[in-house]
Amino acid sequence: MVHLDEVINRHFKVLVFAVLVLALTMRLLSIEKYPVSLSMDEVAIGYNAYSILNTGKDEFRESFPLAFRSAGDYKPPVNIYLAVPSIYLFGLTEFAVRLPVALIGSLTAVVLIFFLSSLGLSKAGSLFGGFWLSVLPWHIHFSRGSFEAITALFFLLLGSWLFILWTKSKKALILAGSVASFSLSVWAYHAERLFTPLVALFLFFLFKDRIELAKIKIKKQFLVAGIVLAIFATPFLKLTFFTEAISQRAASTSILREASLGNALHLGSYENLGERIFDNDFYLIFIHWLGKYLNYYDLRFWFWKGLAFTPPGYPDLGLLLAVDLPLFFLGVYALIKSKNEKLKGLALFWFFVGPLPASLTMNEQHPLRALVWIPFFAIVLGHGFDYLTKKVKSWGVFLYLAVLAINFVYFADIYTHHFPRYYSEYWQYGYKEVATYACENRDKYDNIVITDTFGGYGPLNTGLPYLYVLFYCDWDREIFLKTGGHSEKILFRRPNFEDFLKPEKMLLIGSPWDFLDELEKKGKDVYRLDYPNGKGAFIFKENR
Amino acid sequence: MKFFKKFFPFIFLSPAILWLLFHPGSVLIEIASFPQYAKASITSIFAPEKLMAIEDMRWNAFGPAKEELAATLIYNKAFVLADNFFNYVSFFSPRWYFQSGDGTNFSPPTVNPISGVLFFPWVLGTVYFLAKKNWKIFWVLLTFGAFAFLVGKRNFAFLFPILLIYLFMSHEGIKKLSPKLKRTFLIGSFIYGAFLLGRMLWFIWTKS
Repeated sequence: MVHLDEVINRHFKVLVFAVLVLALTMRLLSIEKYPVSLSMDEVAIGYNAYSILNTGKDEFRESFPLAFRSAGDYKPPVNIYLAVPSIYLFGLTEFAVRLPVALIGSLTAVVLIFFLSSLGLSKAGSLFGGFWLSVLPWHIHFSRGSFEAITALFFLLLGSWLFILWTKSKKALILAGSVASFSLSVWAYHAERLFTPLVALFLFFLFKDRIELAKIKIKKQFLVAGIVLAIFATPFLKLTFFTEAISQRAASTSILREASLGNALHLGSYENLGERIFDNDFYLIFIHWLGKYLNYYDLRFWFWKGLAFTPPGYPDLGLLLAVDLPLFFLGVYALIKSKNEKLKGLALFWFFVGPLPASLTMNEQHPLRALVWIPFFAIVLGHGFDYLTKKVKSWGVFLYLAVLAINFVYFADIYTHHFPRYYSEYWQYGYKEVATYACENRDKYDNIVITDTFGGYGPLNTGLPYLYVLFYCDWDREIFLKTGGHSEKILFRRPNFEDFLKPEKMLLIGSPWDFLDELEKKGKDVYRLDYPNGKGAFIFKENR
Repeated sequence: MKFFKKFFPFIFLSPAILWLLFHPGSVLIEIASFPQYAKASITSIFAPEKLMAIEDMRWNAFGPAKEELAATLIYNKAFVLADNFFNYVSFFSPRWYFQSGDGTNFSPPTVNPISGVLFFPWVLGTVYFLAKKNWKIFWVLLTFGAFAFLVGKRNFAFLFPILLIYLFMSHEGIKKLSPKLKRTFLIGSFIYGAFLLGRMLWFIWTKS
């Protein structure tokens, strides 16, 4: 009987291609429909890319910026520039905005295979790592939603793989490629700003026995790498120290902003010596951070309830699929038994440092910020699969694949039915219809008011409807591109009582919370839009 | 004897263990109440709110044809059992033991139950026991966890043995460090442990 290992070795390239096709399918299938609508960040990426394509300027009329001010934040530039060719080819559509990250997410599965292989993992284990990532809901979801963390992870893995490759080949171009990839990961997402330098340093020390620093050839290559690094680092350092583009994000998400910590801090004004020693601010910050950090080491979060596709108390998905639990333990055991010290060292490093960037920010157990942790799980599960094929033989693999299929059906149902039903409002569901309706019916009214406050359970969310109008309404977009302002016809604010007293004809688009009490009966209802869970999303009213 | 000499300082510098040793009465009363707790806990395995969540998911699963076979196969009582299993698994979450405590009177106030810095050697200790195929320690761990889970009480009166085992694993993890790192870590963790004890006593003193 032909062993699975032999099959994989013989058809390795074909299987790598199959993993890529599978990853692409998982990420591109119905990409416009799931997630349920474009988020605020996605429309911002889309419009800014469109604006760069047409004018070379962003929405604030800045030429080719390196940090995009949008949606109340400074956005890393990589995803926006990546969206430019896609928008050029497919127009300003949902598909065009989501395509680049879905492609990069799919390519990550392939890069992961080569990364694992370069670390000395067997072909079967490496290939499994890529396969596992291609069907991993944690990665699929964020790949489909244009998240910058996916792009950053791709460049981080590419940089790590190229670096390991360079330690064997010693080719200057590969080292330069590694440095460029690491740099792009830093440019692509916030978590990598801390994580990538740590990984790069660790890899350097881990492989220093192969580097031969004393050789002139190596010194020259380091010089080239230094120049590449300087090209990427100089503007980044300029942004960090001379603008608020980098520091604002760090400050706005820092754990120091959390009320539970902020209220406890003394900020230097201690009442007595006991307080100064035993309740000092350093300890309070440390202990607060430690809690957040340790929260990531929770098997329930890893395997059962981590992605928050459903409300608390409901069945959900963990970062990994539940079927991966036994394979994970098998992998840990196999890794411990492995004689590959470099791989073990890197796994341990990634295990401890992976959740570090996420733990320094607000929010508990944040799956997006924890994406940099994926290579650790891939290393362990790759080992687990390797062990499975060697010790448990084929039936173990088939059993795993059978349970994986059930797990995947469950994911597909959660993702396409329950997630949109429970959380559509967090994806600004409805603003597409609002913008399109307002645009198509603009000639019927003197003014159109669009609310920025919405929510199924209360006026709890604040959005940026102007971005949706820019995205879905060609007419307003053209005015904005020319003048930097919207058409005077469309106003972005909550409708109010005075609107019903005005002589001009107005279309008021508000959430049900904007038309409470006597306002509910005022004017004439034109259209009502509900969230997929049946709760009212927007009411379209004429003021007279 | 030599082992206890070496391990004793770790116990002494772990606030939760001292805290429990100084409150034997309430610990014993809590443990003695386990039959009532267990009865209540077991009857709540299929609590109505858990079943309601499953039914809601089943009703809205897959497509417009409600209660399809696939929906019934995926969303059923087995799901509640799996949820309970992961609840059980979360009894071993390191955060409770190394940082936050259990949030009840069985946890020392305002400090880590076990010194937080011991998390890193705890991981190394766990790796060591796995490498040595010392399954016994894991079985003991799982058994005590299962007892606490069946009782439905996530407090250190019931999880005290796990606390001790985690401490022991950390102790073994430190032993695996290089001599220089080991010395640094020992000194650091003893200073931090002493600080935690001081903080606990200071807190009790200022609040009394």
